[in-house]
This record gives sequence, C-alpha cells and structure tokens, in this order.
Amino acid sequence: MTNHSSYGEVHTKPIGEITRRGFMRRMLGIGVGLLSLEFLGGTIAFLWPNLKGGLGGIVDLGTAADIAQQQPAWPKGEPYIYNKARLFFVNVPAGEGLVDGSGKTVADPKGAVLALYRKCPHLGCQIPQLCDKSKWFECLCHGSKYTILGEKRAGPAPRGMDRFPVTISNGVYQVNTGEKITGPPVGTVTFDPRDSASIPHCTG
Amino acid sequence: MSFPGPGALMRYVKESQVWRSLFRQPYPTTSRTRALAVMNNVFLHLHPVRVKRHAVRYTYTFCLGGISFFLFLALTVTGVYLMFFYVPSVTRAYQDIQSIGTSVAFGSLVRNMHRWAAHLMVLTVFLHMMRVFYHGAYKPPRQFNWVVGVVLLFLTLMLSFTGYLLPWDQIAFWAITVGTQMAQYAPLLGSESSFFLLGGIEVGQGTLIRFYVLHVIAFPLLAAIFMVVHFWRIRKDGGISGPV
Repeated sequence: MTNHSSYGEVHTKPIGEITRRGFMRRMLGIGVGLLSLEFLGGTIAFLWPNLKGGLGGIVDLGTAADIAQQQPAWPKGEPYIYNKARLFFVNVPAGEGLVDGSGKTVADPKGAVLALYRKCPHLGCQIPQLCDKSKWFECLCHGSKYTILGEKRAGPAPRGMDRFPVTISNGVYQVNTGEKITGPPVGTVTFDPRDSASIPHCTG
Repeated sequence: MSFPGPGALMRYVKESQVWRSLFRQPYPTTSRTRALAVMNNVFLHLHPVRVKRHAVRYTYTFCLGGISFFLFLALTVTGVYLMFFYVPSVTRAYQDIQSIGTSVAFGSLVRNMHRWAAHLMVLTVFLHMMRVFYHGAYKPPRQFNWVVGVVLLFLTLMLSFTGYLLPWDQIAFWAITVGTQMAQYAPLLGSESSFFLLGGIEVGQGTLIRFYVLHVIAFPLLAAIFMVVHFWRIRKDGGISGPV
C-alpha cells in the first residue's frame, strides 16, 4: 500500500500475484477464446468437402453386371461414363475387339479395366464419349485424339489421358479418384497403331 | 349526419395513440430539437448532426464513398429480387439466368441493374480509395478507418468474384477455375484452401452452392458490419478530412 497525494491510499497488487478480478477476466477471456476456436474448427469440419462417391474419393462402380446394366454396350467395348467422378471406365479386352472389328463380347474383364479421367490433359476440356467413326476419344476443344486406352495419337496434348488405380473386392470395381496416375507419354502403343490421317474422325 | 372535414380528420389522427407513440416530439424547428431528432433516430444517428462546410463540397470527395454505399444498397435490393428466380443448381442455374432475361417481367432490367451496379461499385470503391490516398486522408487519426476501408475493398472484390460464378456459363466456369487455381499457390495451406473453396477438386455443384451462400449472405453481412464501423469512425475521427 502506498500513499498518493491526490488519491489517498492506493491498493497495488503485490508482484507475482493476480487479483480476483484479473483472474476472472483472464479466465473469461480464455474461455471465450477456446469457445471461438472450437466454433471455428467445427465450422471448417462441417463445411469440409465430402468426396464420397465423387471425383477425389473412392468410387464404387459395382460389379461388371451392374455396369452392364447402366451401359448395355459395355461388354461390347463401349466405355461406361461415370460422370459423377468424370470417368471413362473401359473394358479393355472388349474394347480391343471393338477397335479391331472382331466384335468380341466380354461380360467381365476380371480386372482388365481402365479408369480414364475425362479431363483432357491438354487444357482441361471434358472429352466426349468414344467417337463412333475412329473408335478414339476425340477432344472437341483442340482436337487431341486418344485411343480407347487413353494413349495419345494426335493433337496438341502433351501426353495420354490421366487415369486412376482400380481395385476389385468381391467382384466390385472400386476406383480411387484421389490418386491420379499421369497418362502415358506420346509414342506409347499397346494396341491400335492406326495412323490418324488414314481414318475418319468426329472432330477436325 | 355530417362528415368531419380534413382538418378535423388530421387532428383526430395526430391525437391518436398510434401517432403519438410513433412521433413523440413535434416537428423539430429549432437547432436543438433538430439535433435531438438526428441523435434519437437509429437510422440517422450514425451521421453527425452537423458537418463542416468543406465536407459537403462535391468536388472535394466526389461523393465516391456515398455512391459506393448507394450501389451496395441497390445491389442488395436487386439481388434479393433475383433470388426469387434463381436456383443455385448446376442443372438449373444457366436456364434460370436465361429465363430471368426472357420470361420474368422487368427481369432483364433487374439483372442488368445488378450487373452494372456491381461493376460500378468495384470502380467507385477503387476511386474512393484513390481519392482518400491522394488527399492523405488516411493519416492519423484516420489510420484505423483506412484499414477498415481495405477490408471493405477486399469484401467488394470477393462479392464480385463469387457473383461471377453464379450465371454458370463458360466464362464463369473458367474464371473460377483459374481463380481457385491461384489459391493453390498460397503458402502452406494452398491446396487445402482451394479444396475448401471449391468444395471438391474441380468447379462443380459444391462450388456453386458455396459461392452462392457466400455471395448472398456471408459477404454482404460482413460488408454491412464493416460499413457501419467505417461510417461511425469517420465521425469519431473528426469528420471528413479537410483541405490541408
């Protein structure tokens, strides 16, 4: 306690101690602060995007029979479009038959499948369904062309179409669209080595 | 039977309990009562009762802040009108915008008022900032209000950016694709912030609804709160800065 000329006796708090009022105020501040942090964290968690079943998450496409129900031409090689995750799901052996004209039907390719990303690796346009004339994927924007395996054959794209890993559990195809695999480099030829100039196209 | 004349009718209305509860004081005729009328009204009290003569000179401020505020109000009203006809869904948004222009009475007018007011607001906010800067009106004691103004500029730009996506046409889609790709270059939380903004890994339904909610409620509400502080601070910092 000190004596001040104009205020009289002034109570000063001893060094290292905290007043009751100061303690309450500090606790209130900490409490409100914690509550605000909790609210902020909860808000972010609430609004955090849920990718289940869509692009970026694990996508369940069902069994080969389920896919054939959605896309009846799938056992004949026509790619199945699962647009919620921007996918072309390709039945590879049937697709090969579609391209070489043998018209092979494969009901369940047993893992010989390909999940291609529909986004063109050139500038990101959405690639339309397989062109009927060339049996290639032909981007409308700048004319990049890919085989049914997503290998680049023509146009300005720097590589083949990107793809996602596929796993099978109990016959159900699952695509992990969170893990993009960069498309094969230009010049990769698994099958279908046709020359772009010698076949008809849907786009220029 | 005789009907009361207009004078008697007016007297009757003015002596009614409803009238007297709405207007407690008579019409202000003196300086003191006029000042009280401003101070006692919730809508008027943000504004000072008196301003300096130079503050109302048009060529000093060009009323750029006032015009920005007016445009904000116009945008709020026309925006609410548009909300009656616009559904933020990827399957409907584009058609809704088309039908606002073709089959809603005055729809084209309202949409274009909203669009042009938005463009103009970005312009007037920017010019207002330039005016304040070149007058040195950000100097003490007005530094805090300059900071509030910078926040308001940011909110104006964010309102403009979020509104850009809503027509859901090609230019909207690609502008937001590019804009959110820029967020990926932010340090530490770059890809997370882009992911959070987009509501996914590419522009889609999640993005549209996020931007819509931000555009129609979050940003306007924040802007309104900051505007209240902004106007209040002008007054507390001694009114509009004068010529040096």
